[in-house]
Amino acid sequence: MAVHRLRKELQDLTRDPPPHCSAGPVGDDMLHWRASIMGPPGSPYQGGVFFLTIYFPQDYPFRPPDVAFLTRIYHPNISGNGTICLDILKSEWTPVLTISKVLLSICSLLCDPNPDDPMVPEIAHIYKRDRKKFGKIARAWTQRYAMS
Amino acid sequence: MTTSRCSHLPEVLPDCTSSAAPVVKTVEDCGSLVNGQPQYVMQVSAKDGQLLSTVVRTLATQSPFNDRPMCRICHEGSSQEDLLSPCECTGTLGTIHRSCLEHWLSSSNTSYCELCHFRFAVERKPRPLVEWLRNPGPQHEKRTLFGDMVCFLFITPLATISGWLCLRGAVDHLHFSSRLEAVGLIALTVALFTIYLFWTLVSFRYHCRLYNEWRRTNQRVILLIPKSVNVPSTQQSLLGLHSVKRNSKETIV
Repeated sequence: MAVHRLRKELQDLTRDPPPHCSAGPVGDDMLHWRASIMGPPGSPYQGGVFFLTIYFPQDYPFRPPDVAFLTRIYHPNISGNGTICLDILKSEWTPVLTISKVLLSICSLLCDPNPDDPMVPEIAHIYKRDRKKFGKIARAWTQRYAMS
Repeated sequence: MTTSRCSHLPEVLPDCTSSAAPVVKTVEDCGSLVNGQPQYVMQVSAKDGQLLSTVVRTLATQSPFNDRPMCRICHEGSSQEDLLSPCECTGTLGTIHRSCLEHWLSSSNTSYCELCHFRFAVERKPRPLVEWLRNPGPQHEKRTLFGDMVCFLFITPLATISGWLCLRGAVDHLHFSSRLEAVGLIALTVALFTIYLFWTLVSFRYHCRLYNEWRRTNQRVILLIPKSVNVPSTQQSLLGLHSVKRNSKETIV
């Protein structure tokens, strides 16, 4: 069922691509995708292109995909190795969600970090205490890692 | 590290929403006609320009956004299996195959709709042991079970033969009145069997615990719903479905 549904999702993504996001399989393996998210305008990630890797389990959509950032990003909910702290990718997953919705949720997380449940407490601390400094570092990281 | 509370559903995209031209995506959706059918091409490119995938599709034959209801889990229509509308969800999320719903309720170990929290009437039946032996869960558990079974089958005859040989040696030594060697061999046999029994017990208990956990969380779920909630026609429009619902509020995902 996983491959069948992923083919449908790919068709939907092709027909109606979500804003600022794109995704597609790597080679012939339908269970391994690569995605890209463009830094949402208005956020410190604006202008950057962030790449993600997506591994779908064999029993997708009954279990969530494994999504991680390949491009380094300065964000309180994204760790240094790209792991994303997002409830819909863990306990709140439902088969109703599609990869397009997941990417939109990640976009939303980029715009609006959640410092109360951080993956990197130091970044969350800076985000809470000194928003200007956070924006400056995030922009610098975006320029360094996500623009080339 | 906690990963459970940052909630970001797609519909709540915050205020940074002005349009930006895609950098890595090439979408050409007009003008290209192959064999008289409109074609749709999407290319997903990596940063270095390497092409990740290309999809060419005929729009006329496969349109996911038509009015035909589809299962919210497998995204298929009702050609293979009837679609049900068993909960309070409406719109494109209102229809689901019975088998898909049962599979989801079984794998999530719940008995309610995760969107509208409608509680389904379900019957849960434990799955047979053979099914667990065939697929005990994650890869490492599968490996551990297989490894322990191989060890058990290998060690049991080995321990039996070794014990028997030791005991025979002890009896021979007793005949030749060398008691020290006889006691030594008997002690060896006892140590061998103690270790064997200890390992067997620990492994058995470990796998019993895993099996019980699997039995608890992997029950076969049978949905107990009256036939009347079936969607009567495959061609029924989703607008028509709304009026059938008791609760007409839209479910947002």
